[in-house]
Amino acid sequence: MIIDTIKLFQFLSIQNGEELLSILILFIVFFFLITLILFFFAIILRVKNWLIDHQDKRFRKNWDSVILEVMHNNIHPFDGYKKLKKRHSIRYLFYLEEYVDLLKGKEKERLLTLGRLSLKKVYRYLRSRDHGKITYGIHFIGIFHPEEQYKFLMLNTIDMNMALTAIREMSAVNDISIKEQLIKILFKLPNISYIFISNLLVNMGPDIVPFLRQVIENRFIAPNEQMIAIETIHRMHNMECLNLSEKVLTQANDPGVLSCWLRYLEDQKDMHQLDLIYPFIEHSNPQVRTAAIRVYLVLSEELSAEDIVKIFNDSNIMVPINAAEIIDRSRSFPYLSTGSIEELKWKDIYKEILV
Amino acid sequence: MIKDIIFTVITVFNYIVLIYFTTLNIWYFVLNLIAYNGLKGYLVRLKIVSPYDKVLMDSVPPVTLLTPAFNESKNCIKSVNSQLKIKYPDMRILFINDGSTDDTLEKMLTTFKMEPKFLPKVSQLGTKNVKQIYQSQIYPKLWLIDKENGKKADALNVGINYCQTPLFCAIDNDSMLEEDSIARVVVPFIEDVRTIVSSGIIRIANGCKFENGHIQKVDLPQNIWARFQVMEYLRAFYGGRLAWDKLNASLIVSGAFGVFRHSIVVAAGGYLHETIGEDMELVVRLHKYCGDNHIPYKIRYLPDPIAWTESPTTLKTLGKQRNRWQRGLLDSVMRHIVMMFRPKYKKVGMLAMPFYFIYEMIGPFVEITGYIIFFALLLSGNAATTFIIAFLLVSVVMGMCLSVFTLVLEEISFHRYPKFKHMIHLILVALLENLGYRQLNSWWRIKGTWSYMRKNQNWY
Repeated sequence: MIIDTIKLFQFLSIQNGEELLSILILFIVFFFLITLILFFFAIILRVKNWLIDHQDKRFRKNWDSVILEVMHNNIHPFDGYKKLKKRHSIRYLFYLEEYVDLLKGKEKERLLTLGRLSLKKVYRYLRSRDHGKITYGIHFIGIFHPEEQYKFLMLNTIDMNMALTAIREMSAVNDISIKEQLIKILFKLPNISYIFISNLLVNMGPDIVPFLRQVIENRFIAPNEQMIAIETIHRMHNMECLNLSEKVLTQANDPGVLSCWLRYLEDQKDMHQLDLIYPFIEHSNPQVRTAAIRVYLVLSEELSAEDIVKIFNDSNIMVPINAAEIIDRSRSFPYLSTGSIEELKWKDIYKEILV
Repeated sequence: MIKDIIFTVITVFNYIVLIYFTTLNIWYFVLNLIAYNGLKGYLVRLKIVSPYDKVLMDSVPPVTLLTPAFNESKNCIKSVNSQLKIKYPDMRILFINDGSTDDTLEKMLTTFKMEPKFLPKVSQLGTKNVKQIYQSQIYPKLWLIDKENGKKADALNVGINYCQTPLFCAIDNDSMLEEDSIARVVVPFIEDVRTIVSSGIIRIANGCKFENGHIQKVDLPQNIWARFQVMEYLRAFYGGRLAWDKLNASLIVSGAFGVFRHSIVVAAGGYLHETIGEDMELVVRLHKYCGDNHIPYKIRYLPDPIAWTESPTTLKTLGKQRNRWQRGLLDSVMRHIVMMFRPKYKKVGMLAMPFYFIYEMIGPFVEITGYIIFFALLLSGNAATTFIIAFLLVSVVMGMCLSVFTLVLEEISFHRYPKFKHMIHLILVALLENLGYRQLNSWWRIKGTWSYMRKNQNWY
């Protein structure tokens, strides 16, 4: 043990520090080499970025002229394609996409045809192992060949980034069976905001409403699916599902589903719903209560003093805040004595409406 | 014999310093690699989805911008004007005048034609008294809360109390957000409902040209201290924060720009008044709150929503800032030290907290002690000059390596410094900062630790 300690002391002593010096020199060389490699890499990247910027400026002149000619039907897309420089590059496709996004109708169709001719690299990307490349591939196939995109999407639902990318362009798919499959995939994507998903579904058009109706009517075991379906028909301003009101309001237990439905009713302004809504004004969940009071205030022609007292004594402040927004808009106030107003829990909010 | 033992102890310490530096730099290197991986995926998505994508814009939740200000007469109009230009579908601005003694309030009231108006208080975090609330007659989304002075955390809590939206964004009065910053930073809240915090990158505004509160031209600052900070910020935000985000263990969200879920911040008790690093403390507490209550959550950092901020340009102000940061770091870690090595807090407890404790808190002490001992040995003639030079070179080369790695990350992503000379200057800065600036930083942090131990809670 003593010998070992002495050996250790000898090893560590400054006079015998060659080992330490060797380690240090090794580190210096190693990290210096890495630094040097990274330095050159950074320079190369800078030069590459600079070159791309300059090339793009040049190519864009060519792309602009061809795209505009094709767009205005001055030349056939196939002739335009032959005139293009770097016609299979991803940069060109991104550039073309900017035009496609701004257009509608025949002009858009012509540019989509032009783009379809340049998908050679996209197909190669779709066969790649690189997730980034596959995502680019799915994105462009979604724009130019949405029906084909679907089969790639089915393979890649595990990668959330990829699935979301693919689903964004699916509104272009014109086959209801594919749309239904895609909706089912969307329902399975966890943790995504239901409002975001419903906005994606709105883009798929009104032909998905019968499918959404089925979900609202039958999927009480899956409240998230119901919320997405209700929010979608709400955003589509669709009235076909109004007759499901009784079923939803009596059978749904989930506060999210109930408040979604109540917000849908607020938008529809159907007076016949008033009796169905009234019990929810006293629901235990503040979110449901808020939604119910909003729709109640929108639908009821006159407010009673009792309503005011109930609303402005609610335990949750969001109830009177939301109510104030609606009451303020309708400007119909029942008489309340100064003493009764002073007794309200949220009297300041009420007074502000009166002012 | 005693002399031998002393020298052996010193040599062992030297080894410890060496091992410490090596592991620290390897850690940073690994973090940079993780950051690179995260950045690659993010860039693909960014290229495909514009921040103003219609589906995204239709889905964004309303946001309230909270701007606490104390004696900001010089900057307040400029920064509010810049906030008014932010492109976001549903945004309210709450400017909180934290008992300013200059003419901040008067300037705001007259410039934006503000009139007293009622605003309901939606949560009840304890704060100093609110004197009056105003609403702009020109821009109805702009509100001003005039309150008694109570420091930044108190001002932010007042803002939270009057915030009616599900999200709020806390920013510094001298930060200038790019017009798409909010639209970009809220995306994680849409794509993953577990997100409770999301923040963006802070870049140095010195040297850049702004017009009406918006960036017109990006340039490097002329001031050398500000230039050092450009490199420092890039390294911290690209290497560090991006990697911790990928590991879902971010402990820091800059007070200059962060978006929070209102309900969870209120449930966790809002900003803590009696700390100097209220931004970091809140984030660590949110980790703890969610861990204790088994709430699934995500704290995100994105590298492209940008807030530009003026950095200190004198050694004195820079020293004070670093001193304050160190006190904030120490306070946040020490308050929640129970989280350390607790599997319940996942990577935060097992990885991030130990990392900050070992490397960020103890680091400056090891570094400065190492320098002192080396120079003592050198002066007493007990150490070889080659040895000292080799050690210093290791430290310089490792530091350089990390900085150049950061420049590579900047180059593959956003390359906001457009000229070739910017890059060369930044590489020079990466070299120079190891020769004095880094040591100064460690010294300020030691001073910060000393102040913390003396319980100094002053802002300066």
